[in-house]
Amino acid sequence: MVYFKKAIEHFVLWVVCVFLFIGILFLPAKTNYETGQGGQFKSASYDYELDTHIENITGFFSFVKENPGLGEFVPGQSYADRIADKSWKSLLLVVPTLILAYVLGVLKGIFDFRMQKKKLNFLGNGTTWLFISMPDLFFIIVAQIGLMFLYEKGLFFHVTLYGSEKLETYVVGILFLLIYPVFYLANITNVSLQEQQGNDYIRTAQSKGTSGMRILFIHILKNSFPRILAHSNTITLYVLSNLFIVEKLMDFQGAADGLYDAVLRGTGFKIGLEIMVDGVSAVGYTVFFASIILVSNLVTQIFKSLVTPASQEMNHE
Amino acid sequence: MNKSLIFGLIILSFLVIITFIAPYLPFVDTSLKDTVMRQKEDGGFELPPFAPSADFPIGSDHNGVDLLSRLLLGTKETLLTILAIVLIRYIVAIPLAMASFYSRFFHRILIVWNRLFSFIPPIFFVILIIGTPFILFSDNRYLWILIVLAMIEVGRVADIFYQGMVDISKRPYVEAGIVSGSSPLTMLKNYYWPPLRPSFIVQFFSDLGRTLFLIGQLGIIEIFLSVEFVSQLSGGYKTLNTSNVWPTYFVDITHHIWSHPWLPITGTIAIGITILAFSMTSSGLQQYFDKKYKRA
Repeated sequence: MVYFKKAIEHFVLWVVCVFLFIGILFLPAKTNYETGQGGQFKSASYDYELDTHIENITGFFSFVKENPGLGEFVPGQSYADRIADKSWKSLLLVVPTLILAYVLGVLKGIFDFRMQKKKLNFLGNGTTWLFISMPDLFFIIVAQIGLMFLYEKGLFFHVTLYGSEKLETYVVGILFLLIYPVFYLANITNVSLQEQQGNDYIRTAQSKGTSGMRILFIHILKNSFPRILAHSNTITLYVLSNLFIVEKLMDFQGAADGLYDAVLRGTGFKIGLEIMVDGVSAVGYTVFFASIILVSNLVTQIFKSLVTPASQEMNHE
Repeated sequence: MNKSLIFGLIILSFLVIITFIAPYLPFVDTSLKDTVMRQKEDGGFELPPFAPSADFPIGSDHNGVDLLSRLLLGTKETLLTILAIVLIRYIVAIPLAMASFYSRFFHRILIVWNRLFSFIPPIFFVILIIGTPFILFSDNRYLWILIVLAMIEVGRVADIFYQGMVDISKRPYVEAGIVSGSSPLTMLKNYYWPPLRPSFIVQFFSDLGRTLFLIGQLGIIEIFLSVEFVSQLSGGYKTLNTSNVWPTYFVDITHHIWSHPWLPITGTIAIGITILAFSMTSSGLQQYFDKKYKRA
């Protein structure tokens, strides 16, 4: 019941967020340009009008009602097709990244935990610390330049780093997106495993002759999972935010790239022209992003209900 | 021996020293003059960006400005920018945390704020807000962007301090303070603030690092803090960045990364090392306080 209520809450938040974004996107873009003698740009002022704002939003909804395909982007291709196409490409990056981040992150965390008292500790905690402390931007740029350099010297095979057509660009994109989440989760896993150390249930399991690995994976890890899953929202937000960076760096034609194109009227304008967002596409991509967050929150909720013992349900909301 | 604190502070003090002495260094060209074209040794001309050479130790930017001078002079601007963002964030977040501790109404606001932002990826939000004409053409655009960047994480910071205060309120010594008749202000000053101070300092440094990372990311997608509108051949106007802040070295990165790699490399190394210094200082301070208050 608790979980059902939570699911409803997430859904309401999703609706509120989408409407909030639509409100921002359809801010009236009526701008008064002030020009000099030769018609050159001097300054621009902006006055907000509530009526136009409401008109914009209602206009958008009636437009959607009349055009199920959201109108034509180019002859033969509707906006809806284009948005779906770009979103699908991004989905192929985001979903494997999120799944792999948890698998690899938890494994790295266990590795760090086991290396703790050994000489080679720098391989465990050292690497995790380094990758959390340095921005992943640094590693991505170094990797791109490095791969190119190695290929030039003939030391490495050719990897396509640009575009979104080939399979290998997806692999590279996923790897870039994975860098930070994996090490972030490794750190969380390691800390929560350490907290469990010395608990009575571990000693009980040991006294019954259960093997060390079995205790670690089945007994301790299950108790650590609620702590790890508490960070799921941070991870999802980080991956989606980083998607903008990775798509830009790789020239990947996905949803982040589409949203950026649709919204960022801020990079250039012409006098006399009403700068306006490509509202239709922007709303499409916004719904896509918000839905990913919604689905990931719901999935986490399901996992939480599976791993949280009934006695702790109240503590790990 | 607290290695990370020492290393972190050494790098940070080095950066602070640079901000003060950079204009007086002999190899720094404070005028940042453009070199539009230059003659090659074997005859012929070349256009900027110039590769690293004797004139330009780490190369030049696309206007032919010496990159090393820009880098060193930009240190001050970069550090001041992130400091301003984090200060604005804390000026809003700390009172919000305290208010939500004392009043249910403000606590509601904090919860709603946090829930809402848990549905908004930060970069997504920045793109959306900065694109609005209200901010784009504002005379105080720079200030507005600072405020937007500060607001993004107000909820997170406020929540950390709110939780901290709730934890403290459960300790016995707080009851003793209430029983002895301390006023709410004395309670705040003498009972709540001292145990919160260490986490405040640790959090502050880690936030500085996070903020630098965020403006670095924004640099990649070409959102800059201060811009000027520049006339284009097509009759349109394009925003052009006009500062020396490090993230601006990422401009046109997909184009420069192969042909003129020294531009993005310089930017990413400067940002990377500074963020490393902030996180080292932050985790070093954490260790220091843990040891001091015997919490380790």
